[in-house]
Amino acid sequence: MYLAKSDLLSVVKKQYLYKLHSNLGLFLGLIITHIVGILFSITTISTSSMGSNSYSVNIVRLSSQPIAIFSHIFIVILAIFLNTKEFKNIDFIYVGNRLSSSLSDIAFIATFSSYASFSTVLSGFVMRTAKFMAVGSSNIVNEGFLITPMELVIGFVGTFLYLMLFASFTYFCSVLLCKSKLFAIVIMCAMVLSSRTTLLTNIFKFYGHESNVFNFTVKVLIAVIPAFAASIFVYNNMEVRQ
Amino acid sequence: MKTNYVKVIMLVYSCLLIVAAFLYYTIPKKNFVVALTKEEIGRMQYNNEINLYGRILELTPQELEKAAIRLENWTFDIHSDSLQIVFTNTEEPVEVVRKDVDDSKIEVYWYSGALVYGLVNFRDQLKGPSINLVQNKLEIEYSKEEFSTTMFTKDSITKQFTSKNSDDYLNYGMHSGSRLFVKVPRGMSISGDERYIYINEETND
Repeated sequence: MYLAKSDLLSVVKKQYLYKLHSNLGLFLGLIITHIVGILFSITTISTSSMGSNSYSVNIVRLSSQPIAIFSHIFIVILAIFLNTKEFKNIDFIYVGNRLSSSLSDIAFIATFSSYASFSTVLSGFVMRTAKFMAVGSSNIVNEGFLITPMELVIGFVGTFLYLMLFASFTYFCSVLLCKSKLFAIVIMCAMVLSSRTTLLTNIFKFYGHESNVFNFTVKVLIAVIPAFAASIFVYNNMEVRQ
Repeated sequence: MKTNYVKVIMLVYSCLLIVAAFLYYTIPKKNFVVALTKEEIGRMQYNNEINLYGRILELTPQELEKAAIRLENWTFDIHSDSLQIVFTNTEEPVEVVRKDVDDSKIEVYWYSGALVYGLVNFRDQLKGPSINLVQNKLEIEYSKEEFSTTMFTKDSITKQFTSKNSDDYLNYGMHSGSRLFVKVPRGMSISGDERYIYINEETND
């Protein structure tokens, strides 16, 4: 029993390291996306104003929100990409099984999410520091600019959990699609139905209205663990040619 | 070779992010535009409404400060028994108050309530009109002022766990308005555009 477990872990580790090494281009893609996001955030200035005959007030608003959105889009694309034939062929380099393949995929997703959340959260500092150097403190509102180290940690954890949530759901859907293309119809129908009922709204509220990090972590784990477990189960039970 | 190239880019980019974070935390956190809380905005609005349109001329500087109302004033000597008021670039009314004494002085008071937008109070940057007395002609000229500031908004994830101020207030705008008073000596005749001039007698009660 112990030996089997050890073998599985070493195979997973080898597959994970190989996937990481051979897919560094994805990290480069993420970096490029984030640089575009930073430039997009700085140059596509959102302004709002009010005024009268004697004055006009103009507020320039900057946010790292586009970078966070780009990260989420990227993780969804990655979760789909992991179940493509080209990517799955990497698994044949080492002697392993479908379980080790899935586990190494999950480890890869977790690594990628960590780096994406690190980059997303710290991108906000690039914007803030650059703006401070350009205009000085007297032209910047303290609200939103000041980030405490605790907020930095919370931002990192929150972003990582959201990325894992998105990735686990997408990964599960893409495994289902590998199993049978008919699942595309099922997934589409489920999405349409949930958007027409209050289900989707309730899911958004369930996660989006949770302001306690611990509770949020539990809620995310409740979804992520079954999603990945189901993905492993489905992938394990697929026929060889699939 | 290609992999090494990507690793170098990742390393450089990561270092850049860490340096930016390090520099950020070395920035002295002072002289920033201080954002108001929604409670402060509510209190300011209430105090402005109560006082700006009440017996404002009788308020002491301390009471004005407490009510978040700004005052600018001018005094001119006049050696004429008539005054012509000339407006430029404005449709703001002027309230003329006849004093109960003839001291040959014209006193002008401009009061402004809070000008709040995006959680920032621009009241102290709001300049009063330019007031000049040339012979018996009081010239009141407003120039359009433009204020601008930069506000960072946290991304929605960080905001979800840390936000203190409500997003509704980020676009909340409030200007309680301003009032311009001209106190003139007793018996002085006033002329000018009657649409913008309101005349009152000063009372001592």
